[in-house]
Amino acid sequence: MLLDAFYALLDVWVLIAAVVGVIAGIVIGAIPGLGPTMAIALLIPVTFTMSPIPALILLLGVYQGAIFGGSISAILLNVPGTPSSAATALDGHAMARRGKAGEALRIALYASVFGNVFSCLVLMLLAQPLASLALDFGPAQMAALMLFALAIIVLFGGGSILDSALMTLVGIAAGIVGLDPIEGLPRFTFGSFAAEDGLQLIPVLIGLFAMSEVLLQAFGGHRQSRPPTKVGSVSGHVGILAMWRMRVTLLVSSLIGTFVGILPGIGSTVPAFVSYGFARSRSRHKETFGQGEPEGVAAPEAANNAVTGGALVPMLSLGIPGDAVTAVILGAFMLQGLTPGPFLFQHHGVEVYAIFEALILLSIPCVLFGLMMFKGAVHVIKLQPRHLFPAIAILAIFGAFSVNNSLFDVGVMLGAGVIGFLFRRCGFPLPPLLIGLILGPPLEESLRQALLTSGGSVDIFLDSPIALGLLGVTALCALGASLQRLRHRRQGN
Amino acid sequence: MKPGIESSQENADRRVGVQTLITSGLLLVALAGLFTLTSQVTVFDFGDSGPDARFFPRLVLALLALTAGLRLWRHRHALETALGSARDWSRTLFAVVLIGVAIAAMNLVGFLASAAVVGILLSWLLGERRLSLSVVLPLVVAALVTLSARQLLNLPLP
Repeated sequence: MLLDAFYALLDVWVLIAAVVGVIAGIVIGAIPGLGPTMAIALLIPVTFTMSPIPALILLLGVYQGAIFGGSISAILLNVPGTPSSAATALDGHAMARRGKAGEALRIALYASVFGNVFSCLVLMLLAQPLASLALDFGPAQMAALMLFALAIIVLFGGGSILDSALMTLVGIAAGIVGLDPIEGLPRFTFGSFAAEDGLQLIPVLIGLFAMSEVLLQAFGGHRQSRPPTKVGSVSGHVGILAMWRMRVTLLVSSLIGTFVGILPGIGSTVPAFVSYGFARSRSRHKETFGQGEPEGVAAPEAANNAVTGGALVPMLSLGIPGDAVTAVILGAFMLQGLTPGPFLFQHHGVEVYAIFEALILLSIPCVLFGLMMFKGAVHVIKLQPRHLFPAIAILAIFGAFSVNNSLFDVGVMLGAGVIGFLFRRCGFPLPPLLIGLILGPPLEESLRQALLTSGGSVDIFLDSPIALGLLGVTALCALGASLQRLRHRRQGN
Repeated sequence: MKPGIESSQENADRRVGVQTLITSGLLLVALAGLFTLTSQVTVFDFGDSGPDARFFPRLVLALLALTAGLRLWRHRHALETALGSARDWSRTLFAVVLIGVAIAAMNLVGFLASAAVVGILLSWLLGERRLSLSVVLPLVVAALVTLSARQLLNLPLP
């Protein structure tokens, strides 16, 4: 299987997709205000006519490149390109101020690649066994698993639990529109045939993550232009020995990133700060952290890049996206006919392993083009988002239309954009909404199938040790989160 | 003050702000969904035991109404983000109407013209006054997208 998958990668289109994906990702990640979620959402329509392996490698290349790209503006401008690069800015920008920008960028690049390779190896080891385990799951177990995933997103996704719960329920409610998954009866379609297919995922996510950003800019974001900043030299050198001295930090940070990535809903910002804190706590030079300590750059970069592989474990093996980016990538997999879940490895093993291998091999273009693009990045990070948003609006309209060649979908995209704009104005988190929209229909299907099998009795959940165990863990998580909040509140008082 | 929101005099925190308005809207939508559930979801009873097509929507809409109500109650004394200035809202409304009109007119004038107009007017709206970025860039992007869609992706754009 591994060899067949490797042969599948020996294609010029795969190489082109990998290179284009990584370069595009680094550039997009480096521009503050743009991120991998928006970039991947806008690029999905471009991949419609491509075969699955290059299409997905292009999108995953963007993902990997963008996470690293975020550190460029964090180091050079102290403006994180992606939220997860905020921890990198602490010491990275301090190094840049001391004239060591080139060194900081190289440490960030090598640490990113280390974290990425580490997490991809874990992904290769864990995803298939987890999928095999899930093959034995019936509707009751699947429903319990999805409830667990949704609960984790609500409880530990960061921010207010109530706001996350509200957004998750909005997403699940939006998934109700269309034909009922068991009996095929129309629900809330208001007599429209176009609405019977439900809300198409791609137009909705383009609206939520791209169009809402355009509207936010129109609302007042345009006044937040960055003043022109002088960026120093980006030349420098970091040897293997310097990276070897950080091996424990790199390894532990990658472990933290991978583990947190596997858990749904937490994202890459938390592990970046946790790793930074860990590196600081075990360092002999604690006082130099925040003033330009190289390990303060390596730790968060290894962690936030390790999240990429970790987040793909539940997404590929169980069909449960961990965050907004993996939810968007899940949509891309589905469009390519590779439905993530337990059967993915059985039906499309070669494609999946080819993607795993490509994820590891993407490190090569990432290092090569990362090093080559440092000088160019100095100009890229000076771009103001307002220069790009008109182009993003055009791409959003095109992307929504291209799904079904339907203007109805473009209208859905605009509607999702307006809703996304209003929620973002409120500070409500959008990832739980998207994950609720994705997991809502399969949750309903599993729940109703389980209850239909048992004649409406909930005993079917209590008789299965797996379902009972998952529901028990969900309850424990809820209890743990409540106690944690209570403790924080007392400490605050 | 929530992230991403400009801290200006107009956006100062208020007792009843956008959060309360949007949450109230969600509560109303959930309640309307519950009240119209019977008319919007026709169920044919074949004597099956177990949940029907209304079961899940009822559960989710009830939970949504409950959560929205709970949020309104919990935050009844909290300061919230103010609505913002009429100027900001009118700019956003202009952007939405502009894109909406472009979508509606797309079958008539074609993708290229609609997309180019959207790009140019949005550039102007976002404060870009340099000709190369406000006119040339949107035109080039619209033309490139149209050309790529037709020639490379074989998409029948309007």
